[in-house]
Parts: sequence; structure tokens; C-alpha cells
Amino acid sequence: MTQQDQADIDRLIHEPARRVIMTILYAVESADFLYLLRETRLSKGNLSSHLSKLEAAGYVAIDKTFRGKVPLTMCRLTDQGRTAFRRYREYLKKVIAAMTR
Amino acid sequence: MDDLQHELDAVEKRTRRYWFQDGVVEMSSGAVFLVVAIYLLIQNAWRDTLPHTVFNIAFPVLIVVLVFAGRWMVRTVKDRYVHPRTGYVSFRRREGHRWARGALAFVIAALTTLVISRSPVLLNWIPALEGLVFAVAFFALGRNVDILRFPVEGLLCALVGVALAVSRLQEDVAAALLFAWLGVVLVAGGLGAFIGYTRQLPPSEQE
Repeated sequence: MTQQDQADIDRLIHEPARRVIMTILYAVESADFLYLLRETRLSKGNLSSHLSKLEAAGYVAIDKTFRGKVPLTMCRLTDQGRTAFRRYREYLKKVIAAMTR
Repeated sequence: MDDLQHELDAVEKRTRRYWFQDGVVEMSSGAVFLVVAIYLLIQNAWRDTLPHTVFNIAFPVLIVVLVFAGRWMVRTVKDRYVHPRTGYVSFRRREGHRWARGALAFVIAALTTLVISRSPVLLNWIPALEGLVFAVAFFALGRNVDILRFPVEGLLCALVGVALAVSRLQEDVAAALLFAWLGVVLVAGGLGAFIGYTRQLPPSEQE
């Protein structure tokens, strides 16, 4: 990856744990904290911290809700987050194509 | 970079697989197919009588009821046994894909009807065709979500479809038996997956 590539890439998404969180949330409508915890294999504190960063950037919305009597912390990508992740993936594809040329 | 792309694809596939990997959807679909098979067998037993006509008229109603009952079963079982273990996920509805699949099913049905009306001998091969359609659907799904038991279930359906076609049973009975077999395969496959899933993963503590 060139220095220009590194400058262009969305660093907030490019961090490995956040990249996985964004990928999961991109594939679904929303997922709860427990699911993200199991899939990312992060600690609760770590996952909370990454989600907070993504929420602060406007990429992720977090809603406290109930399903029946069970409390759930649901996370979903905002439109901004969805666009940012789509752009990130397109960018990756472009870089891969350029490298294989 | 290429590894990164593969990693993202794998995470996405794993997320899609989550809906199917516990076997609940299979059990529910299998139960629906079993009920349809029993219904068709009972209907066939009253051939050329008034109840047969009533069964014919009531069939669409049964399908609607079964679709809702199946959804209720999936939701209830997942809420009770799956979500407390591995979390709740709300999946996106792909309306465009749904319409495309509906259109494809309509075209296949129309072509099949056209071909059979021109050559009634092919009527005997309907179970084989149905088995093949199920097999293709299961293969595609298995590939999409990376679950090996789906292609196996599809293969079993295709084989039984061919066996029923060769046996030259009456078409309604053959269809009922194929649905019954599909139901048994799906319930057995789903139940096995479900038992393994719940044993392997104990309920999680509250977040």
C-alpha cells in the first residue's frame, strides 16, 4: 500500500476489530451486543469502546430496547456508516485491482 | 490486501449463516412440508368426492396458515433457545431478490406446464423435476451460507424424486410422498443441528 493509499483509507473502519464490527452490521439490519461479542471475540469493555468510537463518528446507532422481557442493546449501521463502509470496500477492491495489474 | 478482502467476505458469509446454522428454520420448514404431505394424502384418499373439492379450495388457506405458523415457530424457538446463547440479529429483507426469485419460479412453472401439456408422458417425471428443483435450491443455499448439510439434503430429495418418478405412482401420491420425505429430511437435519448447537453453546450470561 502506498502512502497515498494509506491517506485515502478510512482509518476508523480500517482498524481490525472495527472492520469486523462494520462488516457484520453491514450484512444485517441490526445485531445485539451479545452477538457482536461472540463474533468479534473482543472483551465487553473493548467492544463497548469500539462501538462508542463508531457511534461518535455517526457510523453506528445504538438502541437500548426489549424483546419480550429481555433487554437488548441493538447496534445498526446508520446511512452514513453504510455509505462509508461501501466506499471502504470499493476502495479496497480498487487497491487490489491496482496491485494485481 | 487480498487477505483482507477474503476476511471481509468470510465474516459476511458467517453472518448470513447465523440464520440457518441452528437448524430451527429447517425444522419449521420440514414441519410445514409434512403437514402439506399429510393433507395431500388425505385429499387423495377422498378422490372424486365432495371432501376432495373442499380440500382443494382450502389448500391456499392452509398454505397461508402454515407460513404464519412456521414463522411463529421459528421466532419462538429462536427467542427461547438461540438468542440467549448467541445473540439476536435482525436480518435485512432483500425485496429485489425476492421479486427476482418469484419471477424465476413463475417462469419455470409456466415452462414446465407448457412442456407437459405438449407431452403428457412427462407427467410421470414431475416428482423427479420437483426433487431436482429442491436440490438446486438447497445447493445454492448451501453454497451461499457455507453449510454442508444443505447440499446433502438436496441430493437426498433429488434421488427420492427420481425413485418416485420411476415407480410410476399416481402424480398426487408421488408429490405427497416427495413432500413427506422432504419434511422428514429437513426435520431430522434441523433437529440434529439444533441439538448439537444447544449442547455446544450454553446460554450466555446477560450482557
